Amino acid sequence: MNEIDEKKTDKGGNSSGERQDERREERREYRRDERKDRYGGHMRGGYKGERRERVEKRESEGRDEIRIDIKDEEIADTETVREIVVPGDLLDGEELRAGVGTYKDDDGKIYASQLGIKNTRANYVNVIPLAGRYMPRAGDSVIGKVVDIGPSNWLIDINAPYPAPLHVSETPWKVEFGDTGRYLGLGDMVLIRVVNVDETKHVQVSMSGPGLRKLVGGHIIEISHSKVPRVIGKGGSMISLIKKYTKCRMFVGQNGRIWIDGEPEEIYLASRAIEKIENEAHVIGLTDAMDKYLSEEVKKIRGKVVTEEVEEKESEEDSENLVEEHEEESDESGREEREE
Amino acid sequence: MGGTPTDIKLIDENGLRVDGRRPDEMRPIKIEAGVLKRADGSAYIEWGGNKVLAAVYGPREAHPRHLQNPAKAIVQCKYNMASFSVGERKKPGPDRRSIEISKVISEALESVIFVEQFPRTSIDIFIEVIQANAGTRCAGITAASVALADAGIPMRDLIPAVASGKVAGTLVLDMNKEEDNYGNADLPIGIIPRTREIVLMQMDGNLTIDEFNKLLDMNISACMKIYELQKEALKKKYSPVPVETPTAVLEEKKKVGEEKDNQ
Repeated sequence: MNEIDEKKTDKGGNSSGERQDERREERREYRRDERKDRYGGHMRGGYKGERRERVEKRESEGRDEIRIDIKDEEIADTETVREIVVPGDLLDGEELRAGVGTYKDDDGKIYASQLGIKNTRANYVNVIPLAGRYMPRAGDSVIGKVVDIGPSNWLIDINAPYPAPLHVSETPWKVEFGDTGRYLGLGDMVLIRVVNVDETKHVQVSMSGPGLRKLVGGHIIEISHSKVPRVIGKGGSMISLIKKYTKCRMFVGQNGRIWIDGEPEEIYLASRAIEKIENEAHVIGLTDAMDKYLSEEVKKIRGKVVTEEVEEKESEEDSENLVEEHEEESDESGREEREE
Repeated sequence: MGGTPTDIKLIDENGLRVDGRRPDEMRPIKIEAGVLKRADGSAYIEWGGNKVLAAVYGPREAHPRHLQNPAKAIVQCKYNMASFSVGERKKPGPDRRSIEISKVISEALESVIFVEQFPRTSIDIFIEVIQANAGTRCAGITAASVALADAGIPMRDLIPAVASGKVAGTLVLDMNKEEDNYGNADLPIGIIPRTREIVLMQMDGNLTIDEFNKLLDMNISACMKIYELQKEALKKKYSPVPVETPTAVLEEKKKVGEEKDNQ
């Protein structure tokens, strides 16, 4: 991570493509890592799709069997147990280097600087924060709100401590000087990308690029930005699950804003699902739980008419154990509905 | 504060204090993190008869803009006593005392926050004293540093703080209202526990150098205990960490749900 930061300051504006690739790679790793941490030690590598089998195995045969199952590389990966640290806590390992959420003091030891979950990866010890505000980083796709209009730029609130000016040259339109208000008005939501953030945290954003646009229609919901990786899921698994069931068009900004467009009932369902993910972000096997939750909820909305995809999914998972869970799940969701 | 004559026997024949504590005994402390939903971070502390609420906002854009520092975040603390926090109604609004306390607390907290990570922003801390019984600035700074950590703000360490003093010629830890009012001296300090750096220290009354050093030692060891309570409060917010299988989690949920329904 430090390497990338250095590159940014050294080269300035050039090779942005390369940088974005790196950033994407980094984020992917980060996400993967977070999952490892979450399941690490308890699930023993069970996140790789065979989770259900492992769980059943554990119930029937006991822990020792599972240990044998693990591949060597997975042991190395899952050694980190989920440990909550607070600022000032000593993170052992002097041979390790200080990663995010940590600092190295004069005594040469590494301490946590944030409230979060301790995580060791490669040579770095990190703290994955449990709270905190969104800090913009180059390459992030975010959902912003127009809060001010100038003659040649808009001021965009990106849910960060810093407002982001969007210059007319960074939009797909040809805007005359002083004509900005005709394109984007106050309160409009836009899907933009953070191009650069300098040392004094001045943010440059752009709306010209694939997929970047003004968001028309739909709903915006806000979650904590630290939960964004969970809403997206490993390789986009969670978000595509929600999209599949609700048939909504969705976009999750790195800043914790989520745009959902579709039929009203389905938007409502999608936002409830996301709320559930946010509240239960720590639950192991959340994707599977959400799968069941959504399939039940979709049935309620659409009556008996269930889509082929959903039916397929159901038959795959058919077992006595699961049917029981389905019933529990529906009980719960029914209650939730009454409450709301 | 210092040395008002009184009929109250502050230290009895057995060497115990007005509330029955030994001279080196603290009042009971209870800390809870994340009590407010709208603030970025918050904490509530009950410390003997003190009840203090701390809320943190930010880092956010500093206003007015001339306050912004292009190199670091500014830390703005506001200490306020509710009009009903003391026996005789306190006139609401900032006064000389609360402005001073706000300043020393801001500076103490700024010394542990990594302010250079958030240039041009402000980190706002609000300390509301709901009920006062001596030592509210220490309770305030203790709660505020928990609230800062709860807000996810990067910092070197938490700051525990405690006040001790001299009452009827005896050195006592963590004074209460009576002792504070009729005592000879008081010495509030706040420290960075790991390095034992002092980030807040004030003194009222007269102490010899020996007495001062003794009180300092008492305070530092008491701070270490408070530090443990702070850490516990933060960790408690995110535990028990569910490690159950999905089935177990669902069953747990069901039980909780039933309890709710029964109520």
